Amino acid sequence: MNKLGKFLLVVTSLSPILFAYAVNSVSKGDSTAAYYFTICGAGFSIIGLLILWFCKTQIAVETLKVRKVKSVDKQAIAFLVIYLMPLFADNAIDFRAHPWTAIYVIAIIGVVVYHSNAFAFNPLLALLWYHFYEVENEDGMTYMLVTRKLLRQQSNTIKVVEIADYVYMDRE
Amino acid sequence: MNDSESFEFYVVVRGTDMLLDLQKIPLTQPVQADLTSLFEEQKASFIGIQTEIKSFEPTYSPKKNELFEIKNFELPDFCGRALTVSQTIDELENAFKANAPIIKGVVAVDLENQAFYFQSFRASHILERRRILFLSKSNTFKQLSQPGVQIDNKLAAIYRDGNLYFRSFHVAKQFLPMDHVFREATREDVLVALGSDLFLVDNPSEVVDQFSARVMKYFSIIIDSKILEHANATPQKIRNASKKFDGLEFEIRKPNGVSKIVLPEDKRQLNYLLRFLAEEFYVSEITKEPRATNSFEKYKPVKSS
Repeated sequence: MNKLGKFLLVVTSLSPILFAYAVNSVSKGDSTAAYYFTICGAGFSIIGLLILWFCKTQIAVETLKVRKVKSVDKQAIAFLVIYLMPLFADNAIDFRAHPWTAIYVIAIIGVVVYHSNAFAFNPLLALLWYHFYEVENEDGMTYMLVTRKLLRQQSNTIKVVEIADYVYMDRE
Repeated sequence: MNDSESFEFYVVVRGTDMLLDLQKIPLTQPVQADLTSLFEEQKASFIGIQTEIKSFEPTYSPKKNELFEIKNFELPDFCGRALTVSQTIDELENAFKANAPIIKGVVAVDLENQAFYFQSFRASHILERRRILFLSKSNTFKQLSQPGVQIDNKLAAIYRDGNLYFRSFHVAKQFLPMDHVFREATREDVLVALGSDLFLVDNPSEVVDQFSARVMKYFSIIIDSKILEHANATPQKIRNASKKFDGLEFEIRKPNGVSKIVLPEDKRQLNYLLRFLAEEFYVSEITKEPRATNSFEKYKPVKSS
C-alpha cells in the first residue's frame, strides 16, 4: 500500500473520535454538531472499508510461513483509550473552543500511529471481527498479522497481503 | 484461478560481487494473477506430453522436444528463502539505474508445489521509454511515461520435485549457480592444458581466443576428467587408438626430440580430436562398429535385485 493509502487508513482509524464527539454533542443537546460529526465519522468508516477492499483485491498475495504466534488483541484496548483521549481531555481543554489544540493533538496521535504502523489496531477492524497477532517467521523476524481466523497452533502458512511494513492482513 | 494458486514473482539479480540473489517484483494483485496464468501456459509448453527428458550432458544440444534434467539439484540458498522467509527478501528498487544490480532472470515461485519457473532476462527486455510507442484511446501514439520490461514468451528452466529441467546450460547458468554441475574451462585453464607435453601449438594465446564455446566445453570435459594425465594419454598411444576411426588422423611432431600432437587448425579436425580425447568415440562390443556417444556416464556394474 502506498503512503496515501497508509495515511487514509490512519485517518480512518481515528474515526471513533468523531463518533465519540457525536455522542458527546447529543448529550449536550447540540444536534447540528452531532450530525456533522456522525457524517464525518461515517465517511471515514466508508473510506476505511474501501481501503480494506483495495488491500484484499489489489495488493499482491504472499505466503507467510509462521512458526510462532502470539495474540495481541488486548493491545487494541490501549489504543482505543488513546483514540478516545481527546474526549476525556475535553473537560480540561475545550477542544471545540480551541480547534487548533484539537488538530495538534490529533495530528500528533496520527503521526505516532502512522510511524509505528499501529494503525492495524484500527477499531473498525475490531468491529469487523478481526484479530491481531504478533507472528514470527523462520528467520525470527516479527510481524503483525490481522486476520479473522482464530490461530490455534504455532505453525501456520497463511496467504496474506502486505498493508504496511511488517504488517500483513489475511487474504481470505 | 483462485488466489491460493497465485505464484510469487522475483527477479534473479547479479550484484557487483558477482553473486546471485533474489529481489521481489512489486506487483498489483490483478497483474500477479495474469502473470501466473502466463507462466502456467509457458510451463505447459515447456514440458509437454511429447517432451523427452535426458540427463544433462555438457556437449549435447537438446532437440526441440528434449529437455535436460539434473536430478536432486541443490537449490541455492537465495532461492530457498523464497519458500520459507519470502518477507525478508528485498523489493526490486532502482531497476533501471546505472548502479542497479543486473537482472539475469525472472522467476515465478509456486509455493504449493515447491516449484520455480525461470525465464531468462536480458538487457533487450528493458523497454526504453523513448523507444516504445503505445496507441492511446484517442488513437494517437504516445510514449511510455516510465520505462518498462517485456516478459519473455518462454520459460528457460523449471525446478520441481527436487529436479532441474532446462534446455540450455549456458542460459540456465545465467540465473542459477551451476559450477557444481559443470564448470566451463576458463581461458587460463585451456592455456595450461595446451602447455602440457601433449600438444604442440603456435601462439596458444591467439589460438584460444579463436575457440568457440563448443570447443571450450570440450576442453572443460577433458580437463575435468584429468584424461590428459592418464598413463595412456601419450601422443603415440592416442594416434594408435585413433586409427580405429576412419579419418581421425593427428599429426605428430618431435620438437626437441619429444613427440607432440599438433593442434589442428582446421575446426572440424580440432573438434574430432577433442571429441576423441573426451572419449566420445568407441567401438561397439558386439558388432565392432565405430560409434559416437555424448554420454560420459560411467558404467555401473549390474546389481541383482
